[in-house]
Parts: sequence; structure tokens; C-alpha cells
Amino acid sequence: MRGKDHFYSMSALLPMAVLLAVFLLPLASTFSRAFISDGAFSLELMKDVVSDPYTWHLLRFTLLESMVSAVVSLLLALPGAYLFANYDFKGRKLILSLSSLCFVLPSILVVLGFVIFYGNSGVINQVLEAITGRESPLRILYSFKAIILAHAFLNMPVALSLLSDSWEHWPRNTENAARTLGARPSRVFFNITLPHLLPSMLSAAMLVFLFCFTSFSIILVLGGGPEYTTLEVEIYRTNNILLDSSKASALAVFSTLINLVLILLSSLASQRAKTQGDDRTSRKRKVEKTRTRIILLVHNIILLFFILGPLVSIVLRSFHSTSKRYGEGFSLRSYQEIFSVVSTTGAMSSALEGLVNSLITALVTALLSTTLALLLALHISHRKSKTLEVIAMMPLAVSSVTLGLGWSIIRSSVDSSSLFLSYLFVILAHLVVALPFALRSLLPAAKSLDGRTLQAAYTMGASTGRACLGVEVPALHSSMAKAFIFSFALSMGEVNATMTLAEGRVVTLPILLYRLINSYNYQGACAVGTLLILATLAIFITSQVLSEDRRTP
Amino acid sequence: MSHLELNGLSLAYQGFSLSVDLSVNEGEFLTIIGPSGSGKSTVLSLIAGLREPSSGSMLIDGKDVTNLPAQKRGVSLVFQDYALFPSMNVEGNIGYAMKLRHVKRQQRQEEAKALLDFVHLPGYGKRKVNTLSGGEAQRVALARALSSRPSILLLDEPLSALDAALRRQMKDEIRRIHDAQPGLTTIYVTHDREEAFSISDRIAIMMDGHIRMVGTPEEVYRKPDSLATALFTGEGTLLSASLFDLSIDADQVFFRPESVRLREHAWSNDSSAWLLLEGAEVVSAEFLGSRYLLGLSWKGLPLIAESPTRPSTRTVTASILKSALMFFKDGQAVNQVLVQSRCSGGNR
Repeated sequence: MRGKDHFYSMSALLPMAVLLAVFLLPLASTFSRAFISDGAFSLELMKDVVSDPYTWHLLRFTLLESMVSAVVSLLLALPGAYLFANYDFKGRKLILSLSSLCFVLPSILVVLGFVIFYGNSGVINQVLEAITGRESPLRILYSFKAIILAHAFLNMPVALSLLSDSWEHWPRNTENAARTLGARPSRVFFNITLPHLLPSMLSAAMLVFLFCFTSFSIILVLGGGPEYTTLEVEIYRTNNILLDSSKASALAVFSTLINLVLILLSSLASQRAKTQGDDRTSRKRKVEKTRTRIILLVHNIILLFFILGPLVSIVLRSFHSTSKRYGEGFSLRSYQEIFSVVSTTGAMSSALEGLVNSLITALVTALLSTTLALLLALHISHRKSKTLEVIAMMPLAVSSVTLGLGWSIIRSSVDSSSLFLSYLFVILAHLVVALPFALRSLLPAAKSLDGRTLQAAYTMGASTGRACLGVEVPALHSSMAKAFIFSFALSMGEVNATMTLAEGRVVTLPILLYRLINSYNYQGACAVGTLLILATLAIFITSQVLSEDRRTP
Repeated sequence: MSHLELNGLSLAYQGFSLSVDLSVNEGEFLTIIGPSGSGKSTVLSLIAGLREPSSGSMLIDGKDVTNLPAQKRGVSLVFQDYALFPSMNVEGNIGYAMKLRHVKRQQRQEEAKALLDFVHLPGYGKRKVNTLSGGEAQRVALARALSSRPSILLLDEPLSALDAALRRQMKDEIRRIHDAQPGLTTIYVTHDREEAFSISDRIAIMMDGHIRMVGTPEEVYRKPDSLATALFTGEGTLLSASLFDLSIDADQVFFRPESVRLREHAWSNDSSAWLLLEGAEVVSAEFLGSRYLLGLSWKGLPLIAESPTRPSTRTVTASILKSALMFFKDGQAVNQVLVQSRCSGGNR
């Protein structure tokens, strides 16, 4: 089928060009800024960065913070993984999907939730005060603790779902065999269960570690100072506050190299995490003992309290004014400000514009990334192109701050004040973040397409293009919807690249949120946050409904 | 005194209730057969202590062990999927029970070696378990189960994952292992009745969570105490008793295919020993190698018969050995043998 190969190669040309443009262009501009000074190749900048003890201090802290976050996330996930893998109970699925909601929440929203929930006059401190009667609040925010806690909030669900999945589908027989041979339950756990879970635990920890290594807004806000700064935040600070894009680029190159090494190591480690067992088998049992029932109840209440607490606090706080000027207590003022019912100054004045901007960029980004990902997925699955698959996933290996930095360098060299160009840059920055995820949602489905249905279409006289549009694309509808939703959500919540790009004229909701938090307008931030929660919730529910539909591929 | 006794051992789950009375003698090889979903494997889990019964009791050598945890029962279980420990090699798997009992390393290795020799896998000690074939894994699982020196060995469909040739070989092997351990009581679960017939001392028929009949292989095949057991233990023809002029109070008559002889012409002189069904039409003939399995139609009713040769005529007389007829009333066996010559095939 030469014609067929030709068709799928041609249709992949455009997405390949776009992929290279949105990924290589910013990367190249960052690299050239790092290696070229005074118009000639030079290693001076890199030498400065590598010889600066502060760089190594940053690296040490970044590694430490990622490691502790990974271990804490894993430890917090273990009890839940045990309960969710072994027991079947009412609300199990709901709690699992709620906890995976954490993972799709924009990180800036998590930051806001933490400020409200764990702050000096937040829910946790009020509860503590009510219990102990102590006046002095527990200082949680702006510390190492806060960073770890926020990372655990975002990543514990990832560990939970990975672990409980590999645990649930592992038959009990092996453990039962050990019991009949005379092993006590604790012995069974350490000799049989733990060795089985270890590879999944390791791969979950590696994944969380990588997420935390390039974490940005949580460190930026919750770290609260130079003491707790990571490589990513330092790149942003150097470029956007010290306005030294050359040094920032050198740091970005350094950070990218370290990140690549880490990704390589983790992919080596996770190769051992083969999933044993069968997806159809399940070890879940009905809860019979009262003791188990109580443990489950307590665990789930604690889990829900810490997952929903920050989110519910945001919504409640958005209706609560602490302003002396407008009166304390219940107030709709922030919502009135957003929708311009009452006039306002400062960041809140651009709230409605931010909402519109976010929706527009998210929509365009999602449309583009889904279309491009579809063409790429079809090409990869038809031509079995491993190379393209790796290239398409490469943006995942480069932090979004680094890509944002690249775009900001390009942006500053383009001498135009066109508004269209401003939007374009934001969308391109979002696109490179979303595209790999869209492709990941589409590729498995594209690979599992039954080639015989296409052949059947050919024998009935359909041209390659006709068969592709009429047979293949409809079969991928639900995966396309997933890719669209995923891209939309990523764009809606994107902070890292957008902030580093610093395109002052296109203010999105997350950027607005950051500004409001920084100016201590918490009610306003919470009102904007509530809008973002609603948007995320809508996206999340749609994706859950879609994945329910996709039971039979 | 029986070695193992189950007295009304019950378990109820998800709309299924199981209640079992069973007594097994020391050194006996007992097989539980039954259709899938009848609760065979659950009985093994209960005996092993892996599940807790909701009521009833279980005695080993007269001692109540109902509430004893699995690790203290001295009962070993070989699982359908072998359930070898993937984190240990073959020797580690076999030595695990001894390790739990603080047996010294060297002695463990020696015992493991002896057990491997015993199951005909010499030199397999250092092999990883994921490099074993199905039959090898099965032997290792057997060796591991024996390593704790159990008084009761439970085998849960151990041959179901093997191919036909290996099944026969492993079946003989399992019986050999049982016979080589004096006093070892083995309970074997399978859904394959031929496997059960050839390996067991006694067979327990299990259906819908209850044991319907326990007896020697010959008893459960030739003298089933209920129609359900008769139908489960082998093929045959079921006819309504009203077709015949019977002196027995039964509503159904059942016979096995091998109790039928075919003649092209009726012999009137042997009607005292045989029940003659004249004018049966040959509908199908299936060659089984050593014999033919015939489908007949007599008065529009289907019969199954066996014959060493293919019938040469379309219409035959089917003679059924009277002593092999089984009678049932309301599904329960009627223990009477037909001897009167009055019984006949109706319109002759």
C-alpha cells in the first residue's frame, strides 16, 4: 500500500512542522542565549553557572524537596492503596475520582487553597485553636513544610491510583500460599506483598519526584523566599525580576540537562515495574468486620477533609469579606467586581477579561493540539514510527518554565505591538505544553485500531483519505474528546510558561490569581479561584463520563 | 475415627449459600467434583483456613480447628495458578515453610534438594520461578506444599492449566506422591470426571454448595443416588418410566450408552435379561476411536448408545441390560433392580 504510506506521511508533515516549531524554536532560542555572547559561541555563561556554588545549592535543595515530596506522597498513599485495593465499599469509586481531581487542579489553585486552608487564620488553625485554646497560630505556610504538603496534595492521588491499581489486580493466592505454609500476616506482608509492590512503589515515587523537580508556582508562592528556591523558580526570577535572560538561559540549560538525566534514570527504573496479574481479576472484598468499617470511615473522612478542605475554603472565602471599607462578613462584592457590576481598581478590574482570555486560549489550544495530535497519532501508528513518538514526547522532558523563557526571548526580539501576536505567543506556549499530553491520550487508541476494518473499507472501494475520515477518525472520537479536554484543562491552568513568557497584555485566570494572591486580595482571588474550580470541575466530570463510555473499545 | 470431619461447615455470600458435611479418612485420596460455581474451591479455602465459616465446625483428628488460623492448621494448598513466590527462586519457595520454622539454612537446602528429586526436578533449586514451564511450576508447587509436612494436602484444579498429555502424566505423578507419603490425606478438586475416576479412592459430588453423594468411583457412576449425580458423572439416556410397563414405582429411567447393544433383528429368547426397544432409527454415528457413539431415535425420543461397529441398517433394535437400568422418582434413586420379564418396549 504505497498510496497509504504516502497519505499518512503527507498528513503528518504539518503537525511535525508545528511540533518542531513550538518545541525546538523556544529551546533553540534558550540555548543560543546561553551559548552565544557578543555574537560568538562561548562557554563563559555556562562556566559561570556551573562554578557558582549557589547553583549547586539550588540543585541540592531541588533534589531534596523532590525526594521528600515523593516519599511523603508515597507514604500517605499507602494506607489508602491498601484499603482501596482490598475492599469494595460504597463511595469507593467516587473517592478515587475525587482524589484524582487533585491531579488535574491547576497548581496555582492549590496554592490559593493552601493559603486559605493552612494560613494563620485558616481552617486548620481555627480548628487547632478551638481544640487547644492556644492563641498563637501554627505557622505552616511559607516554609519547607508547606512545599512538601502542597506537593503531596497534588501527587498523593497519582501514587494512590498507581499503587492501588497494581495491588487490586494481584490475586490473593500467592499470599494465601504463604499463609498455609505457616507465615503470620506480618510475615506475609514483608516476605510476599512488599516485594510485589516494590516496583510499583518505585515507579510511582520516580514519577512524583520528576513532577516535583519542575514544580514552579507552589515553590514560588508557598516557599516564600530565597531560602526555599528551586532551579525552576530561580530561572524565572533571573529572567523576569533580575531581567538577565542570558544567565536565566544558562541556568535553564543546566536544569534541562539534569532533568534529562533524571528522566533517563527513572525510565530505567520503571522498566522493572511490569504489571503482574490480570486486569479482570480483582481481590476486592465486601467489608465484613466492624473494625475494618471504622478504619475505612476514618481514613476516608481524613482523606476527604484534606482533599476537599482547601477547595471548599476557596469557595466559602469568596463570599466572605474582611475589608473594613466594604464591611465584614458575607459579601458578593468580588463577584460583582468580576462581572463589572460595581467598578473597581487594581487586578480585579481585568477579571472578566481574564476569564474570556482563558476560555479563548484554552479553546484554541485544545483545538490545535487535538488536531495535531490526531494526525501525529495516525502517522505513528501506521508507520510504526518510534522516532516520531519519542520526538513528540520530548517537550515533556523540558520544563515549561524553560520553554516559556525561550518564547519570551523570541517575543522580545519581535518588534511588534500587535495584539494578535500577543495571543499567538500565549497559545503557542500553551500548545507545546498540551501537545504531548494530547498525543498520549490518543496514541494507545490509535495503535489498537483494528487494521482489518480499514482493509475492509479499501476492498469496498474507499480511497485512503476517505477510509481514514470515515472509518478511523470516528473510531477515535472518544479519545479525541479526552485529548481535547486534557489540553483544555492544561491550558486553563497553565502558569509556568505563561508567567515566564510575561506577555503583559494577555492576562489569563491563573495569572490574575497569582497577582491577587500577591496583593493579598484573598476574597477576589477566591472568587476567581471559584470560577477556575467550576471550570476544572466541568472539564473533570465530562472526562469521567467519557471514560465510563469507553469501557468497550 | 476419620482424619478430617466437616460438620455443617457453612458460608453464605452474594446470594450463594454453602453447607458441607464430609468425613475423610487418614491416608485417603478424596476428590471433590462438581460443575463450576458449585463451591468446590470455597470448600478448600474453608479447610485451609483462608476463609472463615459462618457456622458449623471442622475437626482434624477429633480436635476442633474451626477457629484456628491458616498458618496453624498443618494443611497445605496447591493453587490452580501455582502461586509461586516470584521474589524467590525455586529453592527459596520450597524452603520457605522451613525458614518460618527456623530450620537451618543447610538443612533447608538439603530438604529442598530431596523434595526436588522426589518431584523429578533435580538441579532446579537455583532456577527463577518465571523460567519454569507449566508442568515444572506445578511440580515445584507440589514440593513446596509437601515441605511443611502437612497431614492434609489440598489440590485446587492443579492440572487445569496443562495440556492433555501433561495432564495424564501429572495425574499419575500426583497419585504417586500421595501413595509415597504414608498417612497423607489428599483432597483434590476438579471438574473433570474422568480425572476424578482414575485418581481417587472416593469421590464427593458437589452441586449448588452441597455435597450430594460420596462414594467410590464405581458407586457414583453405576449407582448414583440422584438423577443429578447420574447426569453429572457420565452420559446416558433419560426416558420417562411411563413408556414401559414397570413394576417399579419410578417416574424416570436412565441408562448409560455402554449398557445398550444393537441388533438388526430382535432376539426373542433373551428378553429376560434385556429390555428391547424395537424400531430405533440411527440418526448419527460418531467415531471415537475404540468405538462408535450412536444417536438413535426411538418413538421420536433420543437415545445414546455405544457400538464397536457402525450399524449397517438404518433401523435397529436397541437392547438395554436390565441390571444396568437406573430408576428415579422425583430425582431420587429408587433402589430396585428390574428382574421381571414383563417389562417390554411397548408395541411389539
